[in-house]
Amino acid sequence: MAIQFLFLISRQGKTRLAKWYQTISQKEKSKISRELGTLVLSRRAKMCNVVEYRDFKVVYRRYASLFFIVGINSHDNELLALEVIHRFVEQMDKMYGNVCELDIIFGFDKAYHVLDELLLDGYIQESSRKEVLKRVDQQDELENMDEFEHILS
Amino acid sequence: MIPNHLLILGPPNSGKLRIAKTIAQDYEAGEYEPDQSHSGIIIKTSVITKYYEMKLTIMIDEYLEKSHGANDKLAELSKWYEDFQSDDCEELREVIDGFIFTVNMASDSVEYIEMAMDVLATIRQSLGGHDWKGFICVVGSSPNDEPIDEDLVELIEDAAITSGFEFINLQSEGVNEYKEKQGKDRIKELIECHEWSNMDMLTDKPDRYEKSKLDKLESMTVGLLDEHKQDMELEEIFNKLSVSKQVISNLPPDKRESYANKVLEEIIDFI
Repeated sequence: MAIQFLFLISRQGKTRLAKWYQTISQKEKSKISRELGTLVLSRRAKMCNVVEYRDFKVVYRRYASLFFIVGINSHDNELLALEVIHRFVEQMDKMYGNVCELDIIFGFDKAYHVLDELLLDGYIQESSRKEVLKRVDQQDELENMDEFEHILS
Repeated sequence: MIPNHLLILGPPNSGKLRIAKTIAQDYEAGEYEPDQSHSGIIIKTSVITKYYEMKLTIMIDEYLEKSHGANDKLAELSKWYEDFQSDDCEELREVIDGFIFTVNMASDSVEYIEMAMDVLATIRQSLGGHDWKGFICVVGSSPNDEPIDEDLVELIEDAAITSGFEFINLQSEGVNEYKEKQGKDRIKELIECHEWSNMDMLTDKPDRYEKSKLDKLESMTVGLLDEHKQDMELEEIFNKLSVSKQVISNLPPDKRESYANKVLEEIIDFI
């Protein structure tokens, strides 16, 4: 299954994180995110989590104040997309410790990092929760060391 | 610190002060009579989260002095919008980061709310449309927290969300089945999660690196060979024992004792 794009929007329609796995212009990206934001936010909570949009299927899931929206090809398995979203949320939850919208806004680098370890070019790269977090921790450690050396120099 | 501005607009008895008090918890509103107009009230407060702190000025405005029918209300709201559009209000339009529109769910009809949403959409457009960095939300309440029919709440919510506005029911509380905060908690969350124009970011603690190293100190003092021995955990020993038990059951009786002794020696070595 190839994910075409993944983004997070708040209930106010603000994009909190966006990752595109296909090459399209910035203008087109803004158009898609605006259209999908309006589409998803205007749906009631009990409506289906899968919507057909242009040539692909859009799978979304709401977690507290955020909507996780994923675009997949029309022949792809939408339940798998929901699983990917959930795995991403679980990993962020472990990373931040009870993740909330505020953590993603102000610690967005970590959220992108977790996502990059989880998905590569739209495909699942690493399904192990432990492994993803280990790698993100290692990178954090390196970053902290850099800061420390900078202070010393 | 430069303050951020939030505008709360609504007809009388639609919960404007209750919202302001939810955001500014230190605010005392005892001096206002229920019938007195709340137009022009300005509340200064500050918001602190684990990432930033900021100063917030809450401005309250009313667009109707007395209770009239839906048409009058709508005409008053349109009049308010015309004033808001004027050059005199240019500064106000430039500084506001958030806009809360209140409705009285007990007295406002669904038709009025639907039409008010159209006016609200025009207000959003005048502030910059979808590209505007601020937020707009609709908050519904009833005076004295009278219970409101769930179907009616759903109709009001529908009117708001189909126009692209978030709806918050001030009467609900806690979290819903999707773990979304509701009522006053959602208002607080909305204020905290907005990217305000003027925020003082709280910097990371400078001793973070040292703290992280100190946390690891204990594991760093373990002897290199000790660590090797610790590899064999209790669970692993039991696994080994159960595997050996199976192997022994398949062995001829004369070889069983010597195999058991060998396994025992191995385990003693690890312990």
